[in-house]
Amino acid sequence: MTDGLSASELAATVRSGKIEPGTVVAEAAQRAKIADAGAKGLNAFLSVQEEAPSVPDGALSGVPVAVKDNLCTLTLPTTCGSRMLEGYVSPFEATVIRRLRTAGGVVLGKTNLDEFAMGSSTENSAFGPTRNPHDLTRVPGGSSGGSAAAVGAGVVRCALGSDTGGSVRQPASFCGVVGIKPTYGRVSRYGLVAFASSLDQVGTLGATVEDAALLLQVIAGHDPRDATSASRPVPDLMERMYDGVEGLTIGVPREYFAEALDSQVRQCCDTGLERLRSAGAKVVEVSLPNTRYAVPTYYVLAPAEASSNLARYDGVRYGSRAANAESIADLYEASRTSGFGREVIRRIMLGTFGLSAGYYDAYYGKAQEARRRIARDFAEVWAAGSDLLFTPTYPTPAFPLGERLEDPVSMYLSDVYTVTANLAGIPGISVPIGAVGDLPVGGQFLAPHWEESRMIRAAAALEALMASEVRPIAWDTARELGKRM
Amino acid sequence: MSAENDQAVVSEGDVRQIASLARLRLDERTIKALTGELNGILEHVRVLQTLQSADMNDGDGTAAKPGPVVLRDPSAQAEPLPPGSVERIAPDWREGFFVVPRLPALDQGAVKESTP
Repeated sequence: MTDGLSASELAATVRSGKIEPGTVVAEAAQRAKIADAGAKGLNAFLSVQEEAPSVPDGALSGVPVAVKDNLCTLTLPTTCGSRMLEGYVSPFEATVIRRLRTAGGVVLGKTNLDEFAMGSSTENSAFGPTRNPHDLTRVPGGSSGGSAAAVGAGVVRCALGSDTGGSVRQPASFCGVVGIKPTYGRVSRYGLVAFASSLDQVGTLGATVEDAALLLQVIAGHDPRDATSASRPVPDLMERMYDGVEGLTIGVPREYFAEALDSQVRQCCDTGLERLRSAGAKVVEVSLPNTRYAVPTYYVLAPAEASSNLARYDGVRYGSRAANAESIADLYEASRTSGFGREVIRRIMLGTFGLSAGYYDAYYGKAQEARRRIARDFAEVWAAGSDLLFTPTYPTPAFPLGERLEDPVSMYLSDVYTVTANLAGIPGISVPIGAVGDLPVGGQFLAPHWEESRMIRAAAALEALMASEVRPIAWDTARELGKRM
Repeated sequence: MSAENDQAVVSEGDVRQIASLARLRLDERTIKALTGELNGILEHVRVLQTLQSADMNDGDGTAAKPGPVVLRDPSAQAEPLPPGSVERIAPDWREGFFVVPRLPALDQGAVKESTP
């Protein structure tokens, strides 16, 4: 009954009284259950809301939204995909959840993720991996893989994720949906379980640019509870969404089209650029010379912040506690060692090393310098006349489950196109631009600070230009998966 | 921290020390595996050593500095937690306190001896 309606159309239908929000939510919950059922299910949801609350009139009236399970909610557990927080129900809710509910949106359920958002494949969850709705043998990307798979399978039109190094944009690319990482400070982080606080930002995923932009419009804005949330007003992000790209100058950084880029992904990007050019955009080559420092910088700074943020999990106040500890030190060590998974321990170790005496200047200090250089690279291309940059979102399409689990360096290196936006604090959006076989491919626009509207406008134009090349959202994926039960 | 060979940045002994700092108790197999993994990652991070601080000068010759520290408005208070909510999420709670294992020092009579 609600298949194919955009989020705004669905909300309008609910507001008009033609359909009850309870019916909408029940349909979505049924799709979620079917999609996740069985050994070959998606495993996108860790919990699903069974009851539809009464909803106020608003931009999202009755619209079911999937929520990454590192955003605090009052009625469903917030596990962060970790044994450490298994069964934990937060006593407070994230600001973005409150804004979502105030606009009439309904939290359909909490979605799977790499533990504490550390990963690029959603294989690092304590509750099993999520599968890609376009190919069940492959990863959905990560760390917001559950949210991306839920949108990609047609369970919901939009979802919330978090993006610390590409964790919204990369899974969006893998699952054939749209993913937005806003400017750092555009969206409150209050109630987002911290991973790397100077890089974390709540982002949105949507079946279309419009769906993702609508959800961002609802959650964006100053929050006095988050000192890093900006006090500047939020513009109408969709006012000029369909104005096209004529007159825009789009920079193409040569460092993002190097040897590591899959040739077929490159072909998709080239086609996209050609169509942008034919639609009136001016496409120019630019250089971001410090890109080579991006991944090393990220993998020093993010683990350093994580090692500090995750120190709070000690088995005393909340979360998992090891049994039979004989001393307080024993309690700390046993609880942390049994509660955290392998990737989280790896990053805590890496971060603790980078902050340790004798190594701080050589690693953390150098990485801070590199971060400023990377930010300056972007400032220089904006100053030189680029309105936006266009890049691949990820060097390859979705890779097979298990392929990179034992090779963390390989997994980390592939984050090269997404981590720079987090390091510089600028916004980015991934939009489907084609496919390699059955696997979706995403292209990324990057914009100057606070220019989400410009970025959304270009993405909407490219979405329309590439419609014939893109794998459609698998609206009936949930039903197809259900047949395999 | 010392290197066991020319390529390695961290040794197994270093990894034990880091784990202790991070309040983690790792078995020998994990320490061995992590030593290799951390060295593999640090090998890629080594490119940062080539950065010269002088390269970071802005156009006016001054080193680029981080932005100002933004402090939260002190009037913005977190909402009080609902009654009973801390007790509900605490692993062990008794009479308004988190319960933790008894400190060994208490068993040695340290408190009694220090009491005037």
